[in-house]
Amino acid sequence: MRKMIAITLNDLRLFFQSPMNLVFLIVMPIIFIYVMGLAFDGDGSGGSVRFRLDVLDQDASPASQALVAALESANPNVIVCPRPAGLTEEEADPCALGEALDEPLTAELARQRVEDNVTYGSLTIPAGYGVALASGEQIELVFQSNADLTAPQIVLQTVQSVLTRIGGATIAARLSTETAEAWGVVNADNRPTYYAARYAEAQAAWGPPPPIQINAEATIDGSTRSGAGGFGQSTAGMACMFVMQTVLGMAAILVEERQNRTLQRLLVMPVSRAQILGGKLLRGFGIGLFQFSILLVFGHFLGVTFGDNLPAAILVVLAYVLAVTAISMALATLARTAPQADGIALLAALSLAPLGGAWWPLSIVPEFMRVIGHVSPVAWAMDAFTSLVYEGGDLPEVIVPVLVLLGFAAAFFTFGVTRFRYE
Amino acid sequence: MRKLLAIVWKENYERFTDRAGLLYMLAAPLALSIILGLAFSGLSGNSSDISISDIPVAIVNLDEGSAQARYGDIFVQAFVPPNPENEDPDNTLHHLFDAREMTDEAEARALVERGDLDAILVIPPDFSQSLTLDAAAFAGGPENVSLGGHAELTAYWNSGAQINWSIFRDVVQGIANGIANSNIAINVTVSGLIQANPLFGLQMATGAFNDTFAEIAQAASQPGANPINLRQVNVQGEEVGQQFDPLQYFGPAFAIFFTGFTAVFGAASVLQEQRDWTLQRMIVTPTPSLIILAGKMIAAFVGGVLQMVMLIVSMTLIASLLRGEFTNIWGDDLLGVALLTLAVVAAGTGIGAILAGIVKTNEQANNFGSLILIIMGMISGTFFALPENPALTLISRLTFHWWGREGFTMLSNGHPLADVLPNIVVLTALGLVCFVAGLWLFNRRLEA
Repeated sequence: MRKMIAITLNDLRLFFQSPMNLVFLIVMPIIFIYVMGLAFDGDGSGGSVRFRLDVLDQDASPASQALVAALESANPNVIVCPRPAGLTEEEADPCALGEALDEPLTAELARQRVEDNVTYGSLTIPAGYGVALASGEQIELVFQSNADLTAPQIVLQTVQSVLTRIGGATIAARLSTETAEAWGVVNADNRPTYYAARYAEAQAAWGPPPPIQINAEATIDGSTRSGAGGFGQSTAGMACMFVMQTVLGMAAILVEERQNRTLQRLLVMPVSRAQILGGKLLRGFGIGLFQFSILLVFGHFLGVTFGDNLPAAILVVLAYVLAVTAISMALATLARTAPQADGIALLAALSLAPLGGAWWPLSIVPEFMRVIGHVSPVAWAMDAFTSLVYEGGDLPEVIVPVLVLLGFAAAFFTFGVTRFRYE
Repeated sequence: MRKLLAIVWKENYERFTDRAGLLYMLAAPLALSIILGLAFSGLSGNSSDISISDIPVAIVNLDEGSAQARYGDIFVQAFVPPNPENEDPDNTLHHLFDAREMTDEAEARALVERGDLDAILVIPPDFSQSLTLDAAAFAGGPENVSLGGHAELTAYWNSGAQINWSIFRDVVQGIANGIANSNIAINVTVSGLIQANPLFGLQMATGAFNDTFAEIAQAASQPGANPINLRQVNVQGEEVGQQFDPLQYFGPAFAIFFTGFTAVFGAASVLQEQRDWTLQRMIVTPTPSLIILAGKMIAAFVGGVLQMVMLIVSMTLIASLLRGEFTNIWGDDLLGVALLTLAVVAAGTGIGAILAGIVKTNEQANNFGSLILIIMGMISGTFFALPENPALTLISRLTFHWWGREGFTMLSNGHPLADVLPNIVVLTALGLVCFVAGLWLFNRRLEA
């Protein structure tokens, strides 16, 4: 045992001598966890992210101004541009209009701002909007956006929500006026007045507050652990991916040692083959464990907790790192050169990680992809972490993923040990 | 010229016959693209199938109803199939959700916390009563008609199912809006009629208007009832069908990311030759050192271009296979695609050249090169959309990944070549400047 540990400690010392290894081991994953966690932290409805919406009011009627006012108050995370007159320059230009601040917003400028991702969308209120609304006629507004991943739905949802309220008031006014006409209460003379009065009543009924309010509560309280939702996925996912990349990369070192004949030199010493191999594998396991622990501690500072059952989390980490170490062992038997091993390791990490739900939760992919995804050990680890982080899971809930990961370890260790050649 | 071409040929022959290298260059980006394409296959192309289905939810309907309506039942009817064994295949909501009706809120909450349900909706006992007018309101005159009916629903969701929750919430909100539409339309009708003539109230109290109210409720909740239509268009003014095509976004992003490694490390490989002393041996031959260095750099450029071409073809094939029809994710402007490809590879090669000029060893080049490329990839939005942040937005513009990906996105969205010319110019300028600087730095060190 002492000799095995001596081999491990020597390898660890060599590994940690290089500062760049620490950068890839810790700094890079931490950056990914943080940025990815922010990116996945909801749709902006509760966070500090703000989205600009340009509004082109071509009608300039009280009705269109009321629409703009409703948009401004609908969602504090949506900035309606341009800002009202009378504000200071600092107050007026969260819209990033710059030199165009004092000029009227044109359709071309609004389109350009969408294209340049200065805004997340522009809404055009056509001329005649107020008249159409007053008479209950159909009217079309145009929402222009960049149709790609970087255009979150929060802006569109805000616009749709406001239009639903205003449209609802119009529907109520029209239907009540038509009913009153059918009962002889309304005629051509008093129709406009009657309609306007019903419209005002309906607008008041739509609020705020809205007539039907949905109070949402999450299993993790966002107010006490701001952003924990997004970081829960990114911490576990990125930790799994980067640990896999690091540990699988150890296969290249094993292959290189064989090529450089340092393994063979160890063989002539009074050290058994099992001790040599064990020492090398323990290095990979130890580095993986160290890396995973640091990243989970970082996640904890971001608000991610693993429930009240820390032993369960530790068990999952141990089983996962063991599984990945075994895979790296198997990999070392397949590659002939170190660059080959590096290439296979990178390919494996970049395939198994997204497949297993490290980049996005498997709940959003088709059923067949969820099944295929569980070919990857990452999927089992993510199942366990999801249970611990979001569902208050305990040891019984993670025992199946842990056993599967141990099964991976047993299978790949058997494969690797039987095939490994020292020369 | 012959010597230059010989160096270029030799470099790329080694590069494309190295099986390990092919894993980085081709297998990794293609594998990622396939995984992404399959994972989000329901969101791309013309497929009408949604990839998300059977979201486990429950409706806890405690609504006791009112004399006029039982609004809580509307949610149950919308989500829960009457016969779970025989679902209506045309009912999108029944396909999207695996919903059940429950009566015990505590039990439902426990299921959410255990992860058996992604979300629940709790409808309180007084839901319908809070919204509808009662008979006393009809008969009591205009002052008794309250238009401000207000009800609250409670939703409880599992924090680990954010996307499924947002889908459930949107559907619930839509149904709630429909109910509110109907209810407000009825209330406003009642108010208007009673104000015109209080006798109408007495008739309403006897139920004489029930059919009328039912017609109003139905008319108000029809999908096309809202007179305000919202047309969604893209920046070209074209109607938007699908909001997002993952292959159109990630395909070019990954191609640029992995080609960056080839271009950068190809250019920096001159350091490996210096370490192995093959560079010095070449210099003592009757070949100007500048030709040797330029040959290495041009070889990296050519290698990068070949890799990009292979990836463009392969990803087009993958996209076509996934959608069952020929699909060009790169756009129809082949000249634009070609010029942008050359510009992207030029930028990557330039960065490799300047890296070779700055660092001293091959190991340093590998380490710093990887670090720079991975960080560039991340901050340019290669792997995921970045949160809005002015600093991040500015920094992302400093990466050739961003300029390249933006350019390819514009081309695939049908922009003309003129629109991506700024991207091509920036990338080419970056490549040239870095290339010349790197060549000068390295040559100077070599001569020292």
